[in-house]
This record gives sequence, structure tokens and C-alpha cells, in this order.
Amino acid sequence: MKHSIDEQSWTRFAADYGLGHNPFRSCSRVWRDLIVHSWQIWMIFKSGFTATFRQTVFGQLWGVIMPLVPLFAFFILTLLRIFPAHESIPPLSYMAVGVTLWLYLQGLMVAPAEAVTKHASVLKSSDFPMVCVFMASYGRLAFEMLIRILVVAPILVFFYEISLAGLALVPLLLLPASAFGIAFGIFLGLGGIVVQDLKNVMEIILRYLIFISFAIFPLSMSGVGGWFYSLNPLAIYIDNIRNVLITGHLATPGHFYVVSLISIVLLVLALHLYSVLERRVAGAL
Amino acid sequence: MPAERQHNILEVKGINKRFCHNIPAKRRQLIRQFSMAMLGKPDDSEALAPGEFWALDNVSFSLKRGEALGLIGLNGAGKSTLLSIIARQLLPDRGVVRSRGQIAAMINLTAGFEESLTGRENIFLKGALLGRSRAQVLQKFDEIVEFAEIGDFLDSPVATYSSGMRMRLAFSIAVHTDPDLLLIDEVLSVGDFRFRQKCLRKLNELRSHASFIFVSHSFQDIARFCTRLIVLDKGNLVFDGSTQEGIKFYIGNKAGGDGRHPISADSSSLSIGSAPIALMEPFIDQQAAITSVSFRWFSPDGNPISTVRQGREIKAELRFKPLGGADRVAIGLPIWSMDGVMVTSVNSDTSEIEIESNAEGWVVLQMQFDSLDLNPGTYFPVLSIGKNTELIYRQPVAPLQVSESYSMTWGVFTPRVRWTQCGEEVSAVLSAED
Repeated sequence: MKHSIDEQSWTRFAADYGLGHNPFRSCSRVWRDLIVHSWQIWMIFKSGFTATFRQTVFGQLWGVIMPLVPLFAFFILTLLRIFPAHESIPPLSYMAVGVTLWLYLQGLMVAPAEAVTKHASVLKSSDFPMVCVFMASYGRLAFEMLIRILVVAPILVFFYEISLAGLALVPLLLLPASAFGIAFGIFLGLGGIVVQDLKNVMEIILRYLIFISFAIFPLSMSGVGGWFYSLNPLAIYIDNIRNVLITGHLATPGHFYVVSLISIVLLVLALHLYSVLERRVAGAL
Repeated sequence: MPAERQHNILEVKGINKRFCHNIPAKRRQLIRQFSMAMLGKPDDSEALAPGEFWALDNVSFSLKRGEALGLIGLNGAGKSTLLSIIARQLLPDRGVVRSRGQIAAMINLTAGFEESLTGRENIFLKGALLGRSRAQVLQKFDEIVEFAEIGDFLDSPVATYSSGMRMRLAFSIAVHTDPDLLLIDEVLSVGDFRFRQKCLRKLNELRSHASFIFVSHSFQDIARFCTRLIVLDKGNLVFDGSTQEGIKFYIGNKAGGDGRHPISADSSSLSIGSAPIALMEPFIDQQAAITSVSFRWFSPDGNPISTVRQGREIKAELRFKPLGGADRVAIGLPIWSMDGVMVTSVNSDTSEIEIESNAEGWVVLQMQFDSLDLNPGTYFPVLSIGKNTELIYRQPVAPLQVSESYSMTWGVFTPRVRWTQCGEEVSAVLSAED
């Protein structure tokens, strides 16, 4: 029931908006926005998905085909034995799991910036929370991930290279990895509004980072390869999650725990930064 | 809570907003805001950095429940910025906005439409983007469709809609809500005349239970809806008072003053003068093509006047020196009413006059209005002089006050009508036609 105006409390909107919050209060505000707007997020995801392929001949089939294109491209290159092989994991399994994880993490990082660009007119002319359009774009990403899993799973099963215990652990291990991707995505989404070059720089980096992220083929852990591994959280996540799925144990537990901890902290900071900056950057869209 | 605040629904106090003239300045501003926010401080300095300007400067007012506030000003005065801040879309750089209840903003109505989705799908999408729940959209769905008059197009992609249909749908989605405060930014230019009337009716309905802030360039709409008017000039609030006084103030001071100091609604300070009205623009004065332009109203006995009784004869004299000769010169005199409507226009092209200059190069013309049937009020002519296809002069001239009336008047002019009682001969004619 709607309260009379006299019973309603005042809402304050001022230059210090969001500045007095601590990071945990910011996180709880973001969480509340997501819960309150869950139907709106679903509508944006559904509408975006429907609209993308509506005017094509194959319609929604493209929604299934498109996520598989990069996977099949690497599938063919792997069959042609262009890439070096891992000592114990068959190349196809190595690549299939690695590329699926890479595309997921890469998607988490670039989706917010793309969502901001796509929904700029709405974000500029309404008080709709920016994080809801981020989340709607992650919905699309989750769908694409699901499609890839449906293709990758039979490959793994065919080669009997799957650990049931590891399979149960994968969703848990994906949490810190997702935290890293989301945190990075929020930084990039907000930063891209201020300095648009950031988006271009990241696009270039992410296009080639896959080759040193242990996603398609392994690198030697000695020398430069070791550095690539230690300094690249994506490599650590991909290598460890794949290892758990196939062998049942982490490849580099020390690296994984450190990166996971950093990822959680980054996510809290990113959500706090978002909470502080959201209204400040909306006017710049 | 103080008694005077009890009925307030909105309080705007000392609002400032900085904008930038160019992209590099905007980038610097954003980086500075980023850095300050990271340190937990607002970027609320009083000084402007290079390339910045105040889009709003120390704007304060409050709004009571049930009040309808009009907001007028020239383009760039800060009207939309102020509305965006009240709608919580833009953060102020300084100052505070306090509000109570639900605020709905009718700003940039078609933003968020997906072209390839149908009207039906877009109603849900746009409803979601306006923050409404599924239940709220479902509850209003039929009303939205009926109001938008999109009929069979409901299940067609919005890309196939005409711009009018798109605006009607967007307006319908936005207006079917139940806010405590409705912000309307120049959105009444929707569809054809009939639909516009329908929109106004709908807004009138909402008016009974919601407060309004209404931005418009139409004085008619402002006068129809608003009980109070705020005039913004270059980001400053320069008038806050009754609607009629506000319109007079705006007309009289469109470009006047330094715009820094609020002016009271005291009617003694109002001056219609010969100041131009924003809606009459553009104003042109090509001094390389024309000089020494003068215009005056005068009575049939030759005395200069500024007031004429309704229905009386009046004359105007016009003098100017066209520097390239008077060949292919045409003169127009559009006349505006006080509420910004162009009432009529006279043009030398529609007369048989041949405009020529005399031996000294002067063109001197007289216009005679046999019976000025404009209703009482102040009217604002704009003298327009064209040569070939180009306007070389277009400036407001002395306003004309029409006084007294035959009797009661409606609208802007009262034609002379001769009424006749139909007798038997008229009945006979009608019977013969049957």
C-alpha cells in the first residue's frame, strides 16, 4: 500500500553521494539493487537476446552457433597438431576446457564495458542502476558458457578424462575466478567511460593474451613461461580449474589461493568503486 | 519538522553543476572526480578549471505537494540539467536535493527502445528500464496500448513504426504511472493535434494527485498546467513566482541583466519594453546589406502610438536603406501573442506593391490595418526584410498593446460577425434545395 507523502521519509541526493559508505555497505547496496531489479535484469537479458538475432534467417540458432565458433576454430587447429601438447592431458581436452574457461573469464571482463556502450542512452536518462545492465550482459555470457559446456562435456566423457570429485569442486573454484573477471570488468566498464582508450587497449591485450594463458596449449614453466604463469591470474585459474576437473587436484595450489584472495578483495573494491562512481560517471555517457 | 516543510515534496538547496566546453576538459574533470572520490571526497570546489562552466549555479527552491511548477529558459539555461539532477540521473557538484515519494521522469522518452522488438515486447522492456515491476507493467498494459493507439502494430517491430507512433508509445509507457512527483521535459510535441490534446488531458488527470515540474517552451502549456514558474538564465534562477508574472518577466528580460541575481515577482519590476521573445528568433541584422531601419506605429491622424483599441484602424511606417538597391526586396511582419503563439503575419509579397527606393536610397512604406481585430493584450511584431531568397534583417520592433474589447473575447482575435435572424425566405430556399 502506498504511504501518504507525509509518512514518507526524505531521500537525500548530494555531491557526497556514496562517499560515506564503507566497502561492505557498498557491496550490500549493490546486492540489494540486484535483488530488487531481478525482473528488470531478466527483461534486459531476454530482450537483448531476442533482438540480436530476430532479423536473421536462422534466428535464435545464431545464439547457439556463435559461442561455438571460436571453440571449433581451436578444435581444428588442435587436431592439426599445430600447438604443443601437455604431457598428461590429451590436447583436445586441454584446449576444450581451457578455451571454454578463457572465453568465460574474458567475457566477464569485457561485458560491462560493452553493456555501458549499448545502454548509454538509458543509463544517461534514468536512474536505472548500471550494475543491472552489467548483470544482464552476464546472463548472455552464462548462456554462452552453457552452450560450450554442452559441447565440451561429451569430449571429456569420450576420453574418460574427468574426475567426479573435481567436477563437484569446479563451481566452487569458479567463484574466485568469476570474482576476478567481474572486478576487472567493473574497473574496465567505469574506466572506459572516463578514458575510452582503455577499452581499445584491453581489446588488443585480450585478443593475444590467450596465447600465454595456458588456455590452448601449455608453456614451459621455466623461464619466461613461468613468469607468464605467475603474473597472469587468468593462466592460474584456467590451469588449476582444468587440472581439478581432469585430475582431481590443483596444479599450483599456492598460486591459486593467493590469486583467489586477491580476487575477492578486488571484487569488494570494485563494487565499492562502482557504488561511489556510478552516478558520477553516468553524466559523462 | 518545521511547519513550512511539512507539505514539501522536494527541496533543492544551492545546487551547482559543472559542465565542460570540450572533450579534453571533460576527461580532466572525470579523472579529477575519480581521484577525489577514491579519496572519499566530493569534487565540490568553487573554482572552475579551464574549459568548464556552471550549467547550474546556486539554484534553490522547494516544491509543495500538489504544486505544478513550470521551468523555462533559453536553450542552455540549465532546465534539463536541473530536471536530471532532481530525477537522480546526474549528481550535483554542490548542494543538496531532498525528495519524498516516488519520482517519475519523462525525459528522453524513446531511450531504451529495441528497434527489432515488437511494441508489446518494448512495453515490457521500457517498463523494466523505468524501474517498474512485472506486475505494474501487466496492470497498466491494456491502458498503455489503448492510449498509444498503435492498434495492429502492437506485435510489429518498433523499427516499422512511424516516428509519431514511436513517440506515442513511449509517451504512453512513461505516463501510465503513479508518481508523487512527475518531471516532464519538453515531451508534449507528441503526435498530431488530437493526440497532443489527449496527452494534455492525461497529464491533467495526473495533476490531481501528483506534483509536477514541467519544462516547456510553450507558454500556453506552461500557463495551462503550472501554478508557479521558475525562470533559469545561464544556470541561474532569476525568477520564482506566479506563472503569469513569470511569463511576463521572461518575455521582458529574455537577454537582460547579468542573470546572477534573483529578481522578485513584484509586478512593478516587470518591463515588457521592446525586448525580444525567445520564440521569435532567429534575429538577423546584416549591416552590410541594410542600414537605418526604423519602424513605428501611428494613428490615422499621424500620431505615434503604442496602444490601439480593438477594431480600430492603425498604421505602421517603415524606413530603411537597402545598400544594394531595393530590387527583389520583400517585407514581412509576423506578430506573436504574449504566450508565444504566432498570431498572424502580413507580407508584401501578397500585396501588389512594388518596393522601390527613392533618390536618396531610402525605402519608405506604410502599412494600414483597416480594423485590428486582435483581442486585448500585448503583441510582438518582428520586422523581417528579405532580399532575393535571403533574410537581411529580422528584428523585433515596438510591441503593440491592444486595449478594450467589443465584449467578451476568446482566443487571440475576434472577427467582425454579422448575425442575421433567418426569416421565411431562408426557410423557403432550404425547402427548395430538399
